[in-house]
Amino acid sequence: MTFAEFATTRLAGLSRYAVVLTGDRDLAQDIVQDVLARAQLRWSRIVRADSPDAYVRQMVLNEYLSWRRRWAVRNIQAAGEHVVDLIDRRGGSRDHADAVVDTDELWSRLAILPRKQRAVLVLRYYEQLDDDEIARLLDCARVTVRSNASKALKTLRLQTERQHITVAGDV
Amino acid sequence: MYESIDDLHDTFVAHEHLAPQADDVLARVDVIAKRLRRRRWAVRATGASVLGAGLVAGGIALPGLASSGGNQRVATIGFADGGDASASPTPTPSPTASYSQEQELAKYFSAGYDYNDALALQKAWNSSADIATIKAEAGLDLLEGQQLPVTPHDPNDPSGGGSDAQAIAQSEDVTLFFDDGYTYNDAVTIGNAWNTSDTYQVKIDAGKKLLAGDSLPIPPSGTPVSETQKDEDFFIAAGYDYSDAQQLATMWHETDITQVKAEAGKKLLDGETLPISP
Repeated sequence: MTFAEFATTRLAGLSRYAVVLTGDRDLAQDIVQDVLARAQLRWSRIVRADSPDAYVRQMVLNEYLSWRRRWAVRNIQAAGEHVVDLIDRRGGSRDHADAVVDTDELWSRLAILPRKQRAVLVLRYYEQLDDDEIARLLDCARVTVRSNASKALKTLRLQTERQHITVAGDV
Repeated sequence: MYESIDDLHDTFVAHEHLAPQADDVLARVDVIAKRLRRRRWAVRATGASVLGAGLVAGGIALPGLASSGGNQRVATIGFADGGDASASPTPTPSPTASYSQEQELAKYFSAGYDYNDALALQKAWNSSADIATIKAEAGLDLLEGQQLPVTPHDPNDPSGGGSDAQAIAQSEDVTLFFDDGYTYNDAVTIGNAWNTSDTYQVKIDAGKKLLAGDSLPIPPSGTPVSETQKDEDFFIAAGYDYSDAQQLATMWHETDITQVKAEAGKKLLDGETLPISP
C-alpha cells in the first residue's frame, strides 16, 4: 500500500478519531495534517508494521497527548465559548430538545477533562477497546486506565449535576 | 448522569461531523511533509550527528537559529522516503547501498542498543517480527542515519530507555520557529500573549502552528530563511558541492550557479534525482 492509498482510504476515519479526541475541528485538522506529513516521511517504516492503520492512529493519539500548550489555549477558549452558548440556548429551562442539548453539553464537559482521561474515554467508549489494549496504547498499567476512567466519569457526573443545580437556582 | 457507555458513545458519534474536510487536510500534508523533510536535511547538514545517542543539547548553526534559547534539543534524522515502499523488494528509506545483516547488527550494538531495546522497538513499531529481525532493522535505520524511536537502554538507569520521538518532533517544531524568522525575544513576547513563561514550550507550540499554516500573535522580528536559500541548503545537505553545481550548470546550460544550486535542491526536495551523484 502506498502512502497516497493509505491517506485516501483512511483519512476520514483518522479525522473523526482526531476530532473526538480533541473536541475541536481546527486542532483535529492540525494533528491529522502533522501526523500524516510525518507518516509520509516514515512511510517505508510504517508500511512494514503489522497494521499501518493502528500505527498511524497511535501517532494521532500520541500527538494529541503531547500537544500541550497549544491544545490547552485553544481548547479552554473553545470550551468556554461553548458553555456560554449552551446556557444561552437553554435560556434556563430544559424544555427544548433536551436530548440534543444534553449530548452537546456532555461534549462540552468532556473538554474540561485532562487529556489522558479524555483519551481513555474515547478509547473505551468510541474505539470500544478493552482496558488492556488501552493500557498498551497509553503505555501505562491497566489499573491506571481504570483510575483515569473512574475519575473522568466522576468529573462528568459532578459537573453535570453542578450545572443542573446552578441552572435550576437561576430559575 | 452520563456514566453510561451509550451516552458517551452517542456523544462521540454525534460530533464526528466536526471532523475536518479531507481536502483541507490533504492540501496541507504535502506542504508540511516538504518542510519537515527540508528541515531534517538542514539539521543533518550541520553535522550534529547523534546516531544512537538520540539527542544532543545545545544550539546548532542553522540559518536563523543563532539567537535561539540554547536549551533546545536537536536530533539528526535521515531522509525518509515517502514513496511506495512496497514497490521495492527491500522497502527501506535509503538513498544508500544495502548492508549485510552482520553490518546491521554490528551497528545496532555499537550504538549502545541491546535486547531490551529491541523489545521496546518491537512495541514501538507495533511489529510481530522476531527480535533478531528487529535488531537488524534498527541497525539498518542507524546505518542510514535515521533516528530510532527508542534511546539505548542504560542498565544502570532504573527507569530504562524511553521514547524520544516526542522530543525529536519538538525539536523540529523549534527549528521551524526560527526558520521562519522568529527569535528568542519573539518567543518571550508570544509567551506573554499566551500567558506562559515556558519559552521553550512556546517555541514548540509556535512551530506547530507555523507548520500547520497558522499565524502567530506577532510577526517575526528576524528575517525568514528564503525559499531559494532553503533549496540551496538542501542541495548542500544532500552532499553536493560547488563543483557539482558547476557540472549541473553545464548540463542545464545555465550560468547562474546559485540558481542551479537552488533548482537542484528543489528537485531533490521534490523527490527527484539529479543527473550526477554528489
